[in-house]
Amino acid sequence: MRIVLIGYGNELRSDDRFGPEVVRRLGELFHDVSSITTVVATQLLPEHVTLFDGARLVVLFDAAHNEPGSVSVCCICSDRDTAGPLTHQLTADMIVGLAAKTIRRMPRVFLVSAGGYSFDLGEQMSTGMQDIVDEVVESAALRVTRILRLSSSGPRN
Amino acid sequence: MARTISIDPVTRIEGHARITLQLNDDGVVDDARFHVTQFRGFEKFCEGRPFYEMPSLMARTCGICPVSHLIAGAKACDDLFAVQIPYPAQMLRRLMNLAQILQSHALNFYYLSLPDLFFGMDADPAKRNIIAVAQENPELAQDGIRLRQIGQQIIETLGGKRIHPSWVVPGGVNAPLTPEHREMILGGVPEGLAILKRALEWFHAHRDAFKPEVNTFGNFSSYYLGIVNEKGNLEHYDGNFRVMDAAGNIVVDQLDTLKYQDLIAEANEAWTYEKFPYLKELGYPDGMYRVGPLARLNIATACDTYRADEELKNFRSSTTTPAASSFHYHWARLIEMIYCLERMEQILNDPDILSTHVRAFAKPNSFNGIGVAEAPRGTLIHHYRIDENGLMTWADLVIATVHNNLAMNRAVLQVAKSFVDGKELTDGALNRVEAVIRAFDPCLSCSTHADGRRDLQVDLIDADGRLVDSTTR
Repeated sequence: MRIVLIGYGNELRSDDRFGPEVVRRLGELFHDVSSITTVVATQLLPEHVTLFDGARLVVLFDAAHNEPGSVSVCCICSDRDTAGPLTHQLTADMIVGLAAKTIRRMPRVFLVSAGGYSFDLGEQMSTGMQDIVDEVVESAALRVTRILRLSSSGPRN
Repeated sequence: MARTISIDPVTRIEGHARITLQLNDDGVVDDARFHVTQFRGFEKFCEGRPFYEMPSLMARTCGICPVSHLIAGAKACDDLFAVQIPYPAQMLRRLMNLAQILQSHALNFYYLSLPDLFFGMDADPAKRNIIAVAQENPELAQDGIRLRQIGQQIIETLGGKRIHPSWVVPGGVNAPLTPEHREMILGGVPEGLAILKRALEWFHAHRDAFKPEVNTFGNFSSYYLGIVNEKGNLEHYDGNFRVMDAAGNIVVDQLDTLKYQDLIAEANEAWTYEKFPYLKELGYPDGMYRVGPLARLNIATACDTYRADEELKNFRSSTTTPAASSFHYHWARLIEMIYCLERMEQILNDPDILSTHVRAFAKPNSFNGIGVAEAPRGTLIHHYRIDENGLMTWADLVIATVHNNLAMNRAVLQVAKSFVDGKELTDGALNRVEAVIRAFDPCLSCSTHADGRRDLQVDLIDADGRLVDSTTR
């Protein structure tokens, strides 16, 4: 079972580093697990769709202009209504919509969003966001470990 | 009552721009302007920085074609060194530049322009995007995704990352090519060529449907400018200037690119941040010229690779000589992508390509350095001046897109006059006004500063500045 973890955001915009930071740290934790693919990107692009092909689970990590300090996890369905992109950059909904139309079997896709405190220019995250990164990494690592354990124990009757 | 139509932002281009159409009392288009609404200031804030930072710093101008800026910047630094870089380094830089052109052209053709070509200019705006193309023809969309990925992966393989790689440095490149990477890149060439064969088959099956657009999308007389190699063939990394007139006469040939200031000058207008280069001898605005894939194919004697030349023959037998319609930028892009793959294969089979002699070390031997290369959208010029401590005192960047500024404005006016009726605004007409800009594939320093999604808003404003009507799509 292949798991794809994609963290995206502009790392020169303070708390927008959330996604890249989380995925980088998860990549370090699971560096010896061949079934896990980690990708850090500035933005979601159509070519990221190729990562969805053959995966069972894709988790996207992104900072958002939500309530600062809030974390939300939502499942993105492939039949969700998506508007078309105005340029080459895609939103999470759009990439799932594109994947659903171009690959054979859709993985389950979750989006983990964290409300940022600041998106000003700068390479440092706010203290609040650093705490959220710690929590999200810990929580995601636990879940990924559990999934890996379940998949290695074979199909359940 | 005179009115102004504003299209803001122009969609499916790289960067932020606005188009305004001025209508007269009868609702007929009087004037049209393509406004670039962002200011970057790179030429100014690099002053005082060490010259060797320039390639990496200038690459930040753009997130789509950073490699082109990296290469032009490094070439300008080579000129400051006054050294000839090692042959393997030239070939490796050339390889990366071709990969950049491949991925950028694939982005424009498949992601930005194909929705118009696939569904038609009058289709529902909600359908005119790559996701809807994927719904109707998944193979075509997959091809586009894969082709761009091939180019991106080559850049990543050579430079360590897809965006803003720092592998190209003053004096050469900072690491040689490994045999494994050579094989990996070579492995993608046949697949890329197969994708382009399918793309051309699709394009030829559908291009007749766009005869009105061929006739009106920037279809006018202009000069064409680019660099060619010593044989006059297609060239993207190194060479000399060639200029062709509207009748196909070569009016400037093998002019040293270091003399670019003898050839062109730049004008400014108050209503846009984008400058207007023109041929100096002809003056402004008569010295309008076009650059980029269409211009390069017009001025080149040949591509000098088999498949690209075969398609170039087809192109030349099906268009005017030189090809005057800017709609043909799409076809020219397809031909250049074939050339990029074929040329990459030639370079990778060069016996010296794995040489470890990839960098010349020197200190500045000149206070003035100029670097010129062909970027996806046209000729890119970096010109630096430094002081005795190697600190930048002045810079001038003549960006590929900027060369086409006069032509883009003329093209917008031509399309607007042909399709926009001020009495009855249709989405198809307004889309054509945008689509002609997409044909040029302007890159307006998109980089990474867009904040959120901007919907397209069309405002109707009367002569007194009052908002008459507004629609969002």
